[in-house]
Amino acid sequence: MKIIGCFISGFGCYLNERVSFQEGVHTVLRENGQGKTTLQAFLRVMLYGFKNEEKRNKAERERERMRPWHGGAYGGSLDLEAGGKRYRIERSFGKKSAEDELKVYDLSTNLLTDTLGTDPGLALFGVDVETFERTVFVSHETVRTAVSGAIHQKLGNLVEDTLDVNRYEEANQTLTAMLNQYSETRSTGVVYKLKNRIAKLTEEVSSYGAVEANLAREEQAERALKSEKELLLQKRKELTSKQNALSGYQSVVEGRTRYETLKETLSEREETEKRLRVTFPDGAPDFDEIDRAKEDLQEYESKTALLNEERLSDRERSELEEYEKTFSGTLVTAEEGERVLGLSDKLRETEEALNEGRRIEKSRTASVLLLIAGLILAGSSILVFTGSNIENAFNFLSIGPEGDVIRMAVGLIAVLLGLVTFFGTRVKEKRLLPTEREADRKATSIRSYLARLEGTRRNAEEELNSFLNRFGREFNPQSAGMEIAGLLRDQDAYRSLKKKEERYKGYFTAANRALSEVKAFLNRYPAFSSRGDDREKLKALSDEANRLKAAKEETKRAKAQLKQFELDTDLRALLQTKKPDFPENMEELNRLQEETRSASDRIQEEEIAHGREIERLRSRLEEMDEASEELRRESERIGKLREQLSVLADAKAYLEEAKRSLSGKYTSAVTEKFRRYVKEILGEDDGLRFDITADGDAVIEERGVLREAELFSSGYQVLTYFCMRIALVEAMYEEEKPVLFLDDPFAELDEKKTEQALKLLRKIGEHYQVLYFTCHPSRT
Amino acid sequence: MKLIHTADLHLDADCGTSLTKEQAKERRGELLRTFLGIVRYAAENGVEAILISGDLFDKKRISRTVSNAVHQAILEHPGILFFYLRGNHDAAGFLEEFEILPDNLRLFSDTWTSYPVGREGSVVISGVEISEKNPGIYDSFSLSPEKINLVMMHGQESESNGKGGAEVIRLKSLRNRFIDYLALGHIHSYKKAELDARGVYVYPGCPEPHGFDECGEKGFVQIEIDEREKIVDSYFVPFAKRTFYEIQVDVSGTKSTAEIRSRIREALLQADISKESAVKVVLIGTFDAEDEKNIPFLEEAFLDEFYAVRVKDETKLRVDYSRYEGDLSLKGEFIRLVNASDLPKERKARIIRAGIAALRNEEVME
Repeated sequence: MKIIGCFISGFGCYLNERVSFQEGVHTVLRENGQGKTTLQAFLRVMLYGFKNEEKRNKAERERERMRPWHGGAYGGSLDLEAGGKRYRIERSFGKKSAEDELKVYDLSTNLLTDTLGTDPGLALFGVDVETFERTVFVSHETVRTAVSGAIHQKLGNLVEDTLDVNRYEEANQTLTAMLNQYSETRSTGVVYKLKNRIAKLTEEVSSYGAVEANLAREEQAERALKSEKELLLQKRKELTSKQNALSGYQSVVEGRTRYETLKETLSEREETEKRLRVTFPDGAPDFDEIDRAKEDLQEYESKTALLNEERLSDRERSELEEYEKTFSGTLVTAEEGERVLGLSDKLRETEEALNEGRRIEKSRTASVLLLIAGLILAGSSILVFTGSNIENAFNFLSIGPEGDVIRMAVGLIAVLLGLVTFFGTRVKEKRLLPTEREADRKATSIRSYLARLEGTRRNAEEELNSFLNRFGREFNPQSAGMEIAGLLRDQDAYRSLKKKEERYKGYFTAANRALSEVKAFLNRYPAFSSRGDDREKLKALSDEANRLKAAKEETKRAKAQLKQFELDTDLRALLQTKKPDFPENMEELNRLQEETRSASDRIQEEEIAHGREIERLRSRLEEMDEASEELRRESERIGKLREQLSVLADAKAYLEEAKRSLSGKYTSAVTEKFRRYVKEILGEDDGLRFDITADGDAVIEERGVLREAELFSSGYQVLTYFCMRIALVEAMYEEEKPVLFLDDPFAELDEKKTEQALKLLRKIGEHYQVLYFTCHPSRT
Repeated sequence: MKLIHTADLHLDADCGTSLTKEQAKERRGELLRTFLGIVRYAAENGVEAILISGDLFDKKRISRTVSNAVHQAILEHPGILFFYLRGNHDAAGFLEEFEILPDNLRLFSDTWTSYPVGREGSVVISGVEISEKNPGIYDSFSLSPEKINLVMMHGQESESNGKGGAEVIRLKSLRNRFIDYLALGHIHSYKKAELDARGVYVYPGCPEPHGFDECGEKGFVQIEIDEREKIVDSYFVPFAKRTFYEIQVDVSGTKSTAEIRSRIREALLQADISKESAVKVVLIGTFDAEDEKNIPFLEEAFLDEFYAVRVKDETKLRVDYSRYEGDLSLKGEFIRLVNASDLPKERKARIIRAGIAALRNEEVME
């Protein structure tokens, strides 16, 4: 195929531009940014339409990226020759693919043709746009990732990369892993485990019928037991009925006996009461009377005992009589006693104060005298000494001058002593009269004080004297206090004896009164007159009265019981009921009842055992039901999984076959064509000879020595890769040779290698139309 | 006079078809609680009788818990008459376990049994348990036109005059027989239709759904009878603890799990489903085999929002083989190879989906 030319109405930066393409190598020399890539895109879009139409991001959609910069019509036409025919592909683009328009003209007739269908690229080359791009488009980036290492491997990789086979391994692993994971034969496989589980569940539910039959048997046995139990229950009811009848008759017999007993008891009680009443012909005393008599007797005895204690002895009697004389007229009251005792104390104190006052008075007189004598003595000595001759003065004392001095000194001492004594008495006086007011004290002399004390003492003495005389006692000022105290003690003794005498008289009177009461009471019941002393009589009377009372109560109770029985009992039925008409006695009935009960218990136990077994079997059936349900689910699941596994296995197999088919189809063909290109183009260079071994490995022969491909320079590697791409294109596009699009693939080669590359390019141009895009004239 | 008509409680049913083992167990408890709830409702609302038109139990053998609870509920409500007509599922020996049968329990047999109720017996409740042994039940059947007649049966309604047999109720044979209210059981959805000029026939449906095959509102029917005016009125009372929903979501045009999820969410929002409900999402439409779809993830995505969520993928996998004609890649080769095989179309699509998912490192299991 060759592209003749194109007209670009509007596409990216192009606007109404016509481009013609020559056969062989057509070089498009433009600087970067001048539309080389856009032109390549236009040519591809004319053949295949836009890429990335489904992208959400607007910027990623080619339609948007290539929209004419200047607006206006979007599209153009492409003239080409293929299969000996010339076509014009005309496309106009809208906002979306539905608005696009494609027209293909047969240029020999200028008529529309549908020979190329709706996808001219696919129709012309037999490959889709992705394959087309991966094969006929070669850029410097593609070349840069070119070969190193074994050429054969690289060829394989190239084929695989180009044909998207490189995902095979991963996909194969995924499918294998999934088939293993769900494997039916591996012990770890899901289906394997599921199969085992299903086998187990199947086994588990296989005995469902047997368990169900067992359950039915158990339920039947349980029902039979229930029937048997029902019969026994009926029998027990009958026996119970007989027992009740017999028991009822026994009750009647017991009732009759009881009735007779009650009547007999009443009779006995009445007889006893009658016999006891003889002792008390006029009636028995009530128990309050008996208690009172007992209390009187007790009173008499206790008071009699106290009389002995309270009786006055002869000494006490004579003391009492003596005291009677002293205190017969009057007694000293407590207040009076207190008062006279206080008065006697006061008298004693007054006496003491008087003595003290007198002593002070005497001391004062003595001090005054001493003061006077001292003054005289001292004064005379001073006069003698000062008036004539001191020596005379001393002579006065007949002791010479020394004697005068001594006299004077003695006199002064006497004066001093007198003063001391005087003031000492003043102090004592003040102390003696502590209660005197200061003013009074000044006006009161010790003498008047003493006189007042004298008056007080007289009054006290008179009063005390009068008091003591009342009781025949003499007054003595020194012992008045003791006398009064003794008098008061006597009075206390008098009172004590007096009270004792009074108590005695009281007890005596009470004992006599109680005794007379007891006697009077006992005299009313002569039946007890011969029963010992009063206490024994009273006890006998009381006992008899108690017995009579008890007998009365017994009689009353017996009457009440009889009456109650008659009220509670249907006497007619009691007396007329006949013995039940069946042969068994109670003992026999009890025995039969016990036998029936034992049988019921046995059935009960068996019933429980069957119940448990039924419960167990029901649980088992429930488990089996669950197992059945699980079995159903798991069987359904395993079916689906097997189906899926089968699909996965098929997918794996078909992928494997596809891989084999692709590799077989292209790898050997590419290898063969590559070898031819390498030999033709690079066969001899700088004394080196390039070749490919039978194994497909690239080698260099230098002076007869073969070297491995690693020794290739990067320039040779680029050229080698280029040969590979051409070989691939040749292998794949068997029907229609495509146009090759080279986007400056030799940009990084040195001058010499560039020359070789261009030589190679021209060689290729002999078979293919090559659209060679470059930005530098050195690479044209 | 108020009555409740219920049926098809299927107590002790497995409930495991649509739910996990734990949820199934929980649902068994909920079924029982709903029955007890109906009894409580009756007691609180002055209902005089509960008509159970069959399939009170799910199987012949029921757990002691259930039988004891039902027995106790009847015993504890002596003021309510329980009319229990056995259905094809019912436990035959349910009552045999108990030595004391409740006085307020009324049973039926394979011959017609009638119970007069209401004031002076003006309401008569009749019933018969259909089986292959009693094909002549329609002939041996007569009701008084003067009474208010309620008839209980369990089976599938049929307009046919054929033999019928077990589980089939010949409506034609029941018309113009003075029935005021034909209390049926067997169908698990509420249905009320005219029987004849006088009466209606009613299926109350199951009061509590057992799985996704019983979607929609569930409850019982309350019957109100004016004995003086001889008027029988009835209405449906929603009572189920949970509602099961089946929501169809067309995912045509979506290209990923995320887009499908978004589509499901829209559908669920429109349906306004409560959190207590169980939802089955059925994916329909076409889905490109090359696009990504993860069903387990979708199930888990809504698990916290409802009691139970199931996602069933009923989409048709679509493969545009023409797209791969010029694809010289491994994927293209793979698809061409599968397409060239003589496998069924759907199988091919599934293999392609798995292969593409593996190539894209996506979830390969459906």
